Amino acid sequence: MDLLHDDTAASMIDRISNLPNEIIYHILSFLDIKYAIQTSALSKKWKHIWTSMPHLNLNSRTFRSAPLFVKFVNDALSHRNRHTEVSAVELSVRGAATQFAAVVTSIVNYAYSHNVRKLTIEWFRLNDEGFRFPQRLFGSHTLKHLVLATHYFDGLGLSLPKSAWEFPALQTLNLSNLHLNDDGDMSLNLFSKCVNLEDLTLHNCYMQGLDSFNVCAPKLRNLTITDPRKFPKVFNVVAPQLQNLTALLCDNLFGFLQLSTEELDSLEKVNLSMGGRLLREKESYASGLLDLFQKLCHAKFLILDDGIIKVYKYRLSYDNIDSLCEFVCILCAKVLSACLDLLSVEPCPFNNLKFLKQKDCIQKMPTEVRKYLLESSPNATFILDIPQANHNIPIYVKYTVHIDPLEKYLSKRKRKMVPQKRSREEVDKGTMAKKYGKID
Amino acid sequence: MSKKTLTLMSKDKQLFNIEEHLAVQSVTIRNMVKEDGASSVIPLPRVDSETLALVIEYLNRQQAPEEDEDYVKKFVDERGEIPTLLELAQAALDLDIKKLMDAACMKVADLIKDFTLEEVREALRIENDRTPEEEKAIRDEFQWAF
Repeated sequence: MDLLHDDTAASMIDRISNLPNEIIYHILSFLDIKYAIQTSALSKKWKHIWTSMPHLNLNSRTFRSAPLFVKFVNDALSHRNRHTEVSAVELSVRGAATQFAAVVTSIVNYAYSHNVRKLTIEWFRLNDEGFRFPQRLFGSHTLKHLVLATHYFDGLGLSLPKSAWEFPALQTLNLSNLHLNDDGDMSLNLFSKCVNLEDLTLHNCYMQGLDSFNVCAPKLRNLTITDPRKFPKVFNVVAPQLQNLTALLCDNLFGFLQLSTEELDSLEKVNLSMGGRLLREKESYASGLLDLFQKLCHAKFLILDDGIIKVYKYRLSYDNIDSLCEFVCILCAKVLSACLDLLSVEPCPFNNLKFLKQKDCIQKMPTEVRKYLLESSPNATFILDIPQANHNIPIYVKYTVHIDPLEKYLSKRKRKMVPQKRSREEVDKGTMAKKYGKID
Repeated sequence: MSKKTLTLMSKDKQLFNIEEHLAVQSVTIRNMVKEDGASSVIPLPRVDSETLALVIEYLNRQQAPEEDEDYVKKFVDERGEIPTLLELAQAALDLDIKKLMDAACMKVADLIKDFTLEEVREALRIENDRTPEEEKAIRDEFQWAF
């Protein structure tokens, strides 16, 4: 472009050659540490840049063998600027504990003693040999974000402290494919000292044999349970600030989430899905669902059968997703309809629904179920959503239910709700087409 | 109530208007607004007008939250020249716009990761101030990483 005058071009070159270290560090944070160290050959200025960069990416797969990786890590850490704190360490290891235990320990210790704020450890092909994290890590006062992940078959090998983890600064915690149960513990309460924990994700965690798994965290806002492998007998949540709960309700062994809750007064959005699990015991699932509805009645939005897209994205091709959703929606409706007897006895806990939205794919939802979900909500609008031509929009809202807080619920619950049916019937019959245009 | 507009001035004195609620995605601007209401023109002495135009375009995006990440990625992909990306990163650093900073730096990292050292020098305009002997000495010193 001729607009670019010579002097601006020159100043640009000057600026770039004098890139601030913050930008260089940031660029290097996306590269493997081996590459970052090689930049030391670029110029005199660059010789020591890597020794002070605050973000380290270590990956055993960039080395041909475990001993090479071990030697590399020892050399690299010993050449680092000792006064630099590390903001983040990302470690990815693939191989047996016998080969990597020592080096992982020294990396964790390095991170700990340099006040790490974000630590990510992925360890695949760990096999059955055990690895115990240095105990001191679980007393880090600087750690804000922690991700621990293994492969599906490796979780047994990682052993985690069973007493409360002392992470006073921790905000997000993501545990993937871990066994949170060994040593025959009856009850675990790991997060009670994580007083600043806001986001907790438990992916594919195995809690076989536990009487109770406790999530007691005063500042927890988001709790996500995806692809549970085995639920404990009771999953206890005490989280007065919890806003979002996302859970797949059925574990790999067809166990249903037995949730026990206290103080879930701040609940905003509850997102429940059944997964593609087989329905061997429809009736027990159904009563479980009803029980959950009661416990989560503070929620303002209820979304059923979301999450399934994410869970299955890795297992099925994209083509299947739409039909799968459809399948799951019908599944959920079936669970509810399988216990129509129960429905007629138990009042629906969701009162004052603003609207109930039904996508085209769940037309088979029985009227009884629909009536049940709406029975406490005199002014709810029922919307039939006609399928759209645009298939790029994932179908993820199945029912959206707005609910008022508990007080209203309790006061309303005492009343009979006979006259309300008329208003809903009217909506049912007349205004779907109109509403459709209005909503989307 | 009409939306409040802010004026940003690039180092070559060009003026850009942007609605305040969009501009405050920049933490730097947000703090300025908090401090003095930022009624006058906000000067950005280190950002040239071409880069600022890009930053304004970025701040004006109207994406749904779930599509935002893809948009930001595409935004930097379409401006995949390293000098432009570095200017963007510099502006994002000055204005404290984390997402843009991340995306621009990540794109640069992605572009240079398969480069030879000489190509990296060229891309980042780094002058090699070492003799070949000195360079070899560095490689020897850190031979475990090469």
